[in-house]
Amino acid sequence: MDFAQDSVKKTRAERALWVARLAQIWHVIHAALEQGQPLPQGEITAFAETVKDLRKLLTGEQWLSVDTALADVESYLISRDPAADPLSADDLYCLAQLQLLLEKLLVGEPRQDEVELKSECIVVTQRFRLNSIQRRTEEKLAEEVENSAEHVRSEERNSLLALSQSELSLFLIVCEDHAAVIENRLHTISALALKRVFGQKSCYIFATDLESELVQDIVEVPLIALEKNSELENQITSLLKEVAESEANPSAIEPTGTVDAPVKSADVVPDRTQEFSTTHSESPYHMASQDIVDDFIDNAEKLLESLTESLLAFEKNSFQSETLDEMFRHAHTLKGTAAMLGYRVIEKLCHSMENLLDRMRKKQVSPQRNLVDVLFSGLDRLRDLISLLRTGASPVCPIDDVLQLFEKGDESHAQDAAHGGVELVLNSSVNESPDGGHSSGERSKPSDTSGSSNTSIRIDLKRLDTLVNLVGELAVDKARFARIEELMKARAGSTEFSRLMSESLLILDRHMNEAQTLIMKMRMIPISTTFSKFTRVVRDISKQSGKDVELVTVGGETELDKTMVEELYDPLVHLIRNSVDHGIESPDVRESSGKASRGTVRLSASQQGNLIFVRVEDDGRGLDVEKIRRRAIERGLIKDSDPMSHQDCVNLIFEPGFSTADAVTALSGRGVGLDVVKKNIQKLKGMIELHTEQGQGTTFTIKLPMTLALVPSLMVDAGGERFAVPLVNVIESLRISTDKIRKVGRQEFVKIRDELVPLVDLSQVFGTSERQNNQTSRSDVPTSTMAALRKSFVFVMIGSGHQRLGIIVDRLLGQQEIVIKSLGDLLGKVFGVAGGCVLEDGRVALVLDIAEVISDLSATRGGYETRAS
Amino acid sequence: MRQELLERLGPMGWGRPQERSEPRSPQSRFLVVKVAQQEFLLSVGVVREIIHAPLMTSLPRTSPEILGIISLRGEMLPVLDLDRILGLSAPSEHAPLRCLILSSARGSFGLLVDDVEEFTHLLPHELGLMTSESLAEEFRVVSSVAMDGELARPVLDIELILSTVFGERKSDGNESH
Repeated sequence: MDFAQDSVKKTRAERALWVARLAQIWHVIHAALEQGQPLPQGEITAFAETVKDLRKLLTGEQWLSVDTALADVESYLISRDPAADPLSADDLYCLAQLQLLLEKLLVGEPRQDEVELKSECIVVTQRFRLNSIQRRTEEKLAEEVENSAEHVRSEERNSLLALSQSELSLFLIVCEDHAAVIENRLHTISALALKRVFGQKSCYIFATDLESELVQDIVEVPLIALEKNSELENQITSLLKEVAESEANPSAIEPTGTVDAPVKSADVVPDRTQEFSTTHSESPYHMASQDIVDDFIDNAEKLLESLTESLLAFEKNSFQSETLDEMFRHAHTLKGTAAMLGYRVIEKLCHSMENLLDRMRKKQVSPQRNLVDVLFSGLDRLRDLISLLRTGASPVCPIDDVLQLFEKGDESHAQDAAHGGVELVLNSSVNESPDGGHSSGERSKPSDTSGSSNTSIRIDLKRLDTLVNLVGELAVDKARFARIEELMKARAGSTEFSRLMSESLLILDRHMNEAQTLIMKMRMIPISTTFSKFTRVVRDISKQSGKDVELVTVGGETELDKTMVEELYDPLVHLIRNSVDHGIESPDVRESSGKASRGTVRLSASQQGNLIFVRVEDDGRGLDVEKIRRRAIERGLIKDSDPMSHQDCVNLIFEPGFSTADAVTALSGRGVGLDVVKKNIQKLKGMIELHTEQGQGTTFTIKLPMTLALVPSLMVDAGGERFAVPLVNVIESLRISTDKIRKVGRQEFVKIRDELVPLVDLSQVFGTSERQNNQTSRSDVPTSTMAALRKSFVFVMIGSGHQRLGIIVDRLLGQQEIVIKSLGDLLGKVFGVAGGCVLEDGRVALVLDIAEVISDLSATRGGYETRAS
Repeated sequence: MRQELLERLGPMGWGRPQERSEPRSPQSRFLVVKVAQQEFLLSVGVVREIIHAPLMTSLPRTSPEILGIISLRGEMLPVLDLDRILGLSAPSEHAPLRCLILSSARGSFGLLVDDVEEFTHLLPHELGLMTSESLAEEFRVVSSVAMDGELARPVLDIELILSTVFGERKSDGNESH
């Protein structure tokens, strides 16, 4: 214990030394500025170096946010070019403020207001960062204005000045065709003062002593005569701008045929003063880079996510004060950054929330559960405001109701207590270790994300996709080289050259694999980003439906393609809503059937090979198969006489419009959903399965590829063509003797583990043999006849949703990761084909659209009837 | 002065734009392709590249004029059979040798031909001697017939080829019926 205390003291003493060094450096900078000397750049570098040394001592999670914020300042100060990017007075003020805050925070005994000081540090560093971005943006804008097509450049200004003082008349013409010809003519009859090209249009300003009518006859384009006065430059700028705008928006302006009509700048340039002032008053940064706003949105969303998690943890863990501090810090940071960008409504709301949290911290308001609801409503409104901002709208919406709730938070609590209000039954997330054991009940603290952008950069997803595709192409190229190597070996045997080739290929292979893994990882995010949202969903739904439900999440660290994680949210919300509303019974029913009164919905994710399994399980009443059957008969989906297996009946719930709910609730029961869920999962190249036991519960299993860019596939050969079958749809592949084929009508089946699986010959379905051999159609030849030619055949059992199909192929060629490419706009959607992939020999293999192949079988040869017979 | 200026500009080739003789644009240069022992013209402007007849992957349930699909440096392109589009039945001297990669506003595609014979220049008066209405139904992808010296050669129109194989381009909603 003594050693630990000594260590802490030692660390604090070391930190104090570096903070003192910062103060010393700042003193030198300050003295230089006071004496009117230039900014001592060496001291600025020393400041950055000292910050770097200090950061080494800020270890541990509690310093993470400050450390990342300081890292940002450090990297900016070190990387900037002092000549091109001098520090402003505000920057220096930020640095001074930072030095003082660090002194308060790190020197002496730990302080009561440590949380606030940390938040202040973050806000100051963010302000420093925004200053630098803002400055760079302004410089860039100024440069852009100077180089913009509408701006009259200095050398042109001189030329215009000289011409306007001469006897010559000044004209402007705009031409779209024969620009080169017209320009040549202008050179012979006039002096050219300015030329601009806006897309298809070319503008010329020239001076000539000819009459305007004659000039027009020569150039054959309408002229605009320019007045030679002090407003000439503005007039030209306005005209150029007008042409530029008309090029960007052809309907905005009609080409004018005005001759000799002086044009006033006020006539052509709309007055935007008012528009600008409105925007400006909204936010001083609106005119700055969109990057700043995007950065703010990203950070705000992360902070809101952290606030939600903290609030749920706060509610669950009996209102621990540490969590309250954390929430306060997040709200404070959000308020600070919103204020800097001029988002007053967000700032006001955060401020009010911060006040309520502060009152709770200071025990002026006793933290109770209805206050959690008040805070949640505030978070919802903040989320709405950020969403508005993301769509490009101003973040403005009525917040008075929420502000009132915040103000009267304690009063309402008092009222509720007086009325003996029903206390909300809490259902919050429990983290469970992957081995199935519950953790000690303490949620892991949400990581501070406010400074996370310091170690990351934003990349346009399109660029990333292009990179992913290129790497996919490289993988194909690599396979081609491997094939060349094989051919070389086969023809010339093992030579020195082939040995070198093999070695190079091996190295290429290794690097390729590393690059591929890394690039694929760039798109991957843990599924917990979506899972974490469901705790709130379950909390709200169980409250609405009056049930007691616990959400258990497992395997949130499982990584999946970012797009897929986002796309998965809606289907999962639907499944979870279904589980809570239909699956889990009310507490009294559960107790009467011998179950715990609290129901459990378990949301889990795991990786198996290249596939991701996401499960939604509940321990509710399970599906009433007989009721489903009856409802399906009522709706005409099946006939009473149709013999159907248990699984066939259960799978009917994926049919469009199917619902067994007796009453439509706000949550579910309209029968809109599970078919959409299935379609959404299929769009992600995945499949969904359902397992249910009456009285025991229901499990939905979603099987997905890890990414949509590279799809693990089984390559097969059928009728001389190669096909790729996405592995996610492959259940198994078997070799079976022909005498195992069963025939019902024209349709053939094979019995696999008590299940009759329909069979089709892939080369028949795709007509590859007939195309290859240019023979007559084989579609009349039954599969069995084809198969009869062989003693045994290979088939791949594929599945989409709950449907199964066996496809007969000639050969299995092994597994391969493929890049699926669109067949192009000309072809559009081709039956049974999800796209194409390039093979190592440069040829294209078609990627099967399993859902379509299966539904085609159902549509053409009878779905349930045939399968059940 | 006006006359003087116009006279000054005239000899320098700066007459009114419509009076000047247009330089030969790419549209007046044609590729002569051979299919089933017949020669056809194709504007050079639409030809992206010429490759050897590639190995194709056939596509299910598509029109018979679509021979299959190829990958040209990673880009998926359908390949069309000109022979079949034109309904020509005369036997070819050999298997198709060349595939023309053509570009249109609707997308790029391959067109399989027996061979590429030559480039030729045609003047405006040598084009459009006969309109496609006078030709057989199979020749609906021919826009006109040109006289190249003593030879009469049909001119292929790739937009007509595309609408024959893939149907009319979908309207963007602005066109009136």
